[in-house]
Amino acid sequence: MDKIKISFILNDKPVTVETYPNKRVVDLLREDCECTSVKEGCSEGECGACTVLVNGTPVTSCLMLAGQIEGDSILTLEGLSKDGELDKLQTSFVEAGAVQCGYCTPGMVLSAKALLMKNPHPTHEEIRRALSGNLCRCTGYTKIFKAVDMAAGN
Amino acid sequence: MKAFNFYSPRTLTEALDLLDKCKSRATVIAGGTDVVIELTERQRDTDCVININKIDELRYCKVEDGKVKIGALTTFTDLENNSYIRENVKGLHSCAAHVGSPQIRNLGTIGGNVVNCSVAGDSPTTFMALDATVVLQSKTGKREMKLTDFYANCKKTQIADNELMTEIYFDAPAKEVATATMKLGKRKALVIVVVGLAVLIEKDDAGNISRAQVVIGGVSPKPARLPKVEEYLVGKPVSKCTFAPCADLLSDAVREMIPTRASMPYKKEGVKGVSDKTFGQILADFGLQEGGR
Repeated sequence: MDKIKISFILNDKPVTVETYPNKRVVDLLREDCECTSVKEGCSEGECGACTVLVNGTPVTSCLMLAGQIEGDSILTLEGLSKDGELDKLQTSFVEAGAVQCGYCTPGMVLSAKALLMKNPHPTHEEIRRALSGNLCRCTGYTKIFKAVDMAAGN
Repeated sequence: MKAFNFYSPRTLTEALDLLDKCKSRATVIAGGTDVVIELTERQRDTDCVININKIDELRYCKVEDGKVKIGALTTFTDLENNSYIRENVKGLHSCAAHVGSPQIRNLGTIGGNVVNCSVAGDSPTTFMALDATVVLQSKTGKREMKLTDFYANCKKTQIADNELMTEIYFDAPAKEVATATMKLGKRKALVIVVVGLAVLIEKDDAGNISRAQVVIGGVSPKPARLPKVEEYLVGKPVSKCTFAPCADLLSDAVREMIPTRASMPYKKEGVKGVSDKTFGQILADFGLQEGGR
């Protein structure tokens, strides 16, 4: 198996990683890029814990091979806060008490971020639909939806 | 995951060359929503993986010469956001909008869903109701095939090792045509199809049904046209009364198709509700009555 060189933008910074092609994007980000906010849950695209944004679009990184993100722009939770300042969404998750065990949180925040980037003032139904690919087994979702509502200024 | 070499061609020609060289030892990956799981769980043994997801020329949805043509790399999200599909092919729009989750719809491609021909696949049922044709290309040429023929064998398509599915197309629905799709699953998001139903109805000037294409999915190994239901419908007026008995006809069809399967008692009841909702949407598409999902 030949190693491959993958160049992409990670959290606004260009990076080049040399790695084996039989790695998934979730493995590449966690093992080679130290982005451990990306969580592996079900490994089959059901739970959304490994959600990252590829060119602004939420995808489950356990369903992508590392080589597939060549040239793409990737956003993980590490790239959301700027100069130590939390993103508005992160603050609202804290304020609304939307975090319990925290395992689903990075994926939830990124799915919500993708929604707000396209639609700054979503309806409650739009929020529910945008987060329908992220499972949370602690909160019952109410406070998570509330957090997104707060960030959207609803 | 086992070891393999990875190739990421940028053009169709390059991909077909690679495929011709690797043949049966190659695995083609597009969105990856099925293939990566198979690779991770070591269900698939492969020497080389060909990533076709960067071939932008296969990402389109256009109407040309009276046909709706969809490139193999078009994602479910692309279809869901396409205004022509939303207005004119409601069955396909609804199908795309209810696949998996937002993340899966962003990754999953039409070509992958059609070629993978999962028993519980979402789009094959709808495309069969639209009587779609697939375009297959290899280094040596191009051929076309009706989806019904493409799925001739159980769980296996007619695609050759050196071929890529590049496009699927169907007749652009005229004003007199309505389409609807509905799936029954255990919850709203992230479910696989328990029973899927896709319907195309064409009416004549008098308001009678001149063509009916009814396809059931999630029951047999591949989606199946239901000639008995279609024959019952043709010639009758487009109305709630005409569609009501379809629930029982479909229920009978399920019982006949899977008489011994443990899920039969559930599916034969479930399909009745699916029938009412799907035909309700057909009426709504014709502007005859409120639909709703």
